[in-house]
Amino acid sequence: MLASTSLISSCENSGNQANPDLSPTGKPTIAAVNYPLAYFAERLSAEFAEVLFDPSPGTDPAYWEPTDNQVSSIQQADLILLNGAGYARWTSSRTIPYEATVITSTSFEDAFIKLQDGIRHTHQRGTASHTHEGVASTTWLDLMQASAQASSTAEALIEQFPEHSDSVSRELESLLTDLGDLDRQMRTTTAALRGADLVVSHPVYQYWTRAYELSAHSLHWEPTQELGASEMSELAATRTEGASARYFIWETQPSQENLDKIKIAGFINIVVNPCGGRPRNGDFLKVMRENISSLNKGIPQGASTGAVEP
Amino acid sequence: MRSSSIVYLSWKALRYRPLRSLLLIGTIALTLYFPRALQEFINRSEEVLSARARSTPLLIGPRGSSIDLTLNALYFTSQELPALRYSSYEALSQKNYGKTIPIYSRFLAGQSPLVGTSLAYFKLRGLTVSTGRTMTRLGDCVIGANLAQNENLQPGDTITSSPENIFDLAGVYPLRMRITGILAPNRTPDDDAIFVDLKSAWIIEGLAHGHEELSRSETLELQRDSKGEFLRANASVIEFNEVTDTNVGDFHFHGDRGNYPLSSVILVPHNQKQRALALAHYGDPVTAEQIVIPAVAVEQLAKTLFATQRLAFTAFTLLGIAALALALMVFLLSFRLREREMLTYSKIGATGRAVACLQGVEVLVIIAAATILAQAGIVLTRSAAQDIFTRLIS
Amino acid sequence: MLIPEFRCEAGQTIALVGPSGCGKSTFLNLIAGIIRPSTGSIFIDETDVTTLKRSASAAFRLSRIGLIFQEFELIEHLSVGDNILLPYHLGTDTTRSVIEKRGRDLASHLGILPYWDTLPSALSHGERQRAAIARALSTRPRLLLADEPTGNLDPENKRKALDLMHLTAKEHDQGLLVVTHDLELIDSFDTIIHFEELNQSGKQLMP
Repeated sequence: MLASTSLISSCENSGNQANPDLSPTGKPTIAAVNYPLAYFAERLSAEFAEVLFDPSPGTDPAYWEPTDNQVSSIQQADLILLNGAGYARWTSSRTIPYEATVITSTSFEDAFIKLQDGIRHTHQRGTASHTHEGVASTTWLDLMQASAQASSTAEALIEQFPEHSDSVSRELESLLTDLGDLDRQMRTTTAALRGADLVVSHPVYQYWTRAYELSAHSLHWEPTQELGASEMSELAATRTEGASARYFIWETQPSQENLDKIKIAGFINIVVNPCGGRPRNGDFLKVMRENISSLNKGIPQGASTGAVEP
Repeated sequence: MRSSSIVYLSWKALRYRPLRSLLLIGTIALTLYFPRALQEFINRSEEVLSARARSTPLLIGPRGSSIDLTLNALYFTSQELPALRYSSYEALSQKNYGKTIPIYSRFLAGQSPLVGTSLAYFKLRGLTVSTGRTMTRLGDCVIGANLAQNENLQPGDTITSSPENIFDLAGVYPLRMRITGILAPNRTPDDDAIFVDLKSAWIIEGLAHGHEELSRSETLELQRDSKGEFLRANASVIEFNEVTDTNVGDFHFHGDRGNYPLSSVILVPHNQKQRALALAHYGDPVTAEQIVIPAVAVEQLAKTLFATQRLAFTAFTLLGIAALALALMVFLLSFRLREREMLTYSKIGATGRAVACLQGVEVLVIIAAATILAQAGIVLTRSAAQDIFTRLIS
Repeated sequence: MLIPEFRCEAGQTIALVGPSGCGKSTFLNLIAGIIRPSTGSIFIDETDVTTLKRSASAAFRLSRIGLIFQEFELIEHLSVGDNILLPYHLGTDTTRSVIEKRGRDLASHLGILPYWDTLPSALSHGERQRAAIARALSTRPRLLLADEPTGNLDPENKRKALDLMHLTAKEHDQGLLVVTHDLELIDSFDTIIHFEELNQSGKQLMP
């Protein structure tokens, strides 16, 4: 059963959709550019602040283009949490108050992964194209980096709201414990992937593969796109001699047809949700646990069937 | 003799010679007005300079004239000093001495200064948007109240930056900006300025662009070739950049942002200690930047500018004495010419005192009218001094 | 000038004749108190005006003596009406309404009422002279001193002005002393004095 109850896709560019405006309430507001940061902020400031994060459903926050009203709401936020590493390109083209922004990845910016893949592409006809050049931006998939980003968020909250430093510190300790547990579990689970052929549907797993000592080949496939001969050839070209197994990592649940084709090609389908956007059900930790569960189910004992839990 | 009759007869005499009366009133009024008006103007100008400088605690900029730096940051005068690098701003921000506000004011739109900055600038200056909203994306701007009124602009209109020279061959194109808001009047140079996100100013600088074709000027006169196809016009044609909903996501910046230009950075220290640290750090001649206390720079400027005040005051005083002497002579000549009239009054039965009162009241009426006129002028000057000075120095 | 004695009774009209420069105008100024004699007294209604201080003399003149000057001496920047009311403005005790009514009646009688709000510069010599006459009569003075009051008037207006002066003199028991060269008019006066005789002989020519 795939853990991907979330509908957050990998790299869909949805443009400016008609979304409810981000409306701050009477509480202090904290805006976040992606769901992991929103989750951290929600956990750390649940007692005293409201978190603004509302890209339209199905929109990858990395490519979200907020409306003027939404930008105005973000401008009013007391704190704006940025991911760093070039994430959320709208922050470069919109006006946000510099003094309220916090780049949560500053502590490990020397460790950013530079990208070489500059292919310009689009995910949906009629939408603007983009490339993945620059640095990799899904920093939170390395759960230790996620912890650093959580800590950075906590520091910013304490500086902005010193009267709540105790509760923030308390919650941070709990959050770091949870993230630490997840990291250990992920490390244990992914150990089995080393030495296997690992193909990822989209180049968003760089920090994940680095953190957990994996080596992956990136494609640019959508979960439901038709996989023709050229795609299958491309996949075949990734096979290496002597690989212990072959795994194909999807961002979200692919079509059954694609599942079958990948299986026929000798790969085991596994969904690992990057969780950039808010999941339909559950939260960030739940999605990560579901990822670990998917991996556990997919690796060795589950690999012969290629079954992937919906 | 009745007081009312004295006033009545004096008024009749003054009204009979309107030109003489007005000339006398005008001369005396100007004599009374100029020295005091000058004093009021100077006082008010000093207040304005000081107030704006006091609200700008510290200024960091490139080495050079501190007064040029201060005037550029406070009054958006032309930038005489070389640009400050963005990396200096980043370094300053990281030191956490206080709130840092970048300023880049190299460009103009017509005669109006175009100021690239951050949203914190508006909070610092107490600027609020009275109509519309603040900018939300690249290419947006908010404009001052005077500019909006003078050019009849409102949110939704556009305004285009001016090329620095008509044959701008460096590939820097004017930017057509979307006006999103109009600031409430502030009676400062901000009323005449256009404010953009710092990144928009860098677009004008040529450090960023989108991937769509440049827009063409609507006034472009195009020529057709023999096949009827449009030709690009000659090199004097100005085209412009424009950020739209469609292309905003495509805009990107080139090169090392650390080298991007700024005019200066306003620093609002967290506390006295951080202020002292900032002054110590940037006061070191080794640093590439200088730190200026605008209040001190302005004080020096005031001393320089207003050193001429005394000279002007002396000149006005001497002129005033001459004018008053002339007025006195006019009065005396006038009374001499009217001796017969005064004799008639005496013959009919006016006492010497009554005749003296008649003459005295005429003089008093003129002086009173002149004083009132002068005072009205001084009040007007006092109320307009701030605007006049702001316009002059801008 | 030596005037041993001169007398003008209330209601008496005296024409003073004599060659130019013999001192007639000076004599009128002495009586009016405008200039003072080096010796002697001048009594008007039992008041020796030579003993009055200048301000008192002026006040006395304003209320008791009417003056018609040879050169009219209207105030150029005041209208005819304001000129007629000038004694009021200069401080006579009579109320404005009373003196204005009198002034308008006099102006009407003298044919200059239409010019009440007109400046003297717009009037003819005759009209200006009539305005001066009205001004002098407006206070109903005890003594009216007139220096060539009809010199610029046509025969009809001359007659009107003189009749008016005579009439007010009789009606209000005013003394009327007129310096004139117009020998056609002197018959209407009670007494005709040749100033040279007065000056030289000092004899009073009694009616």
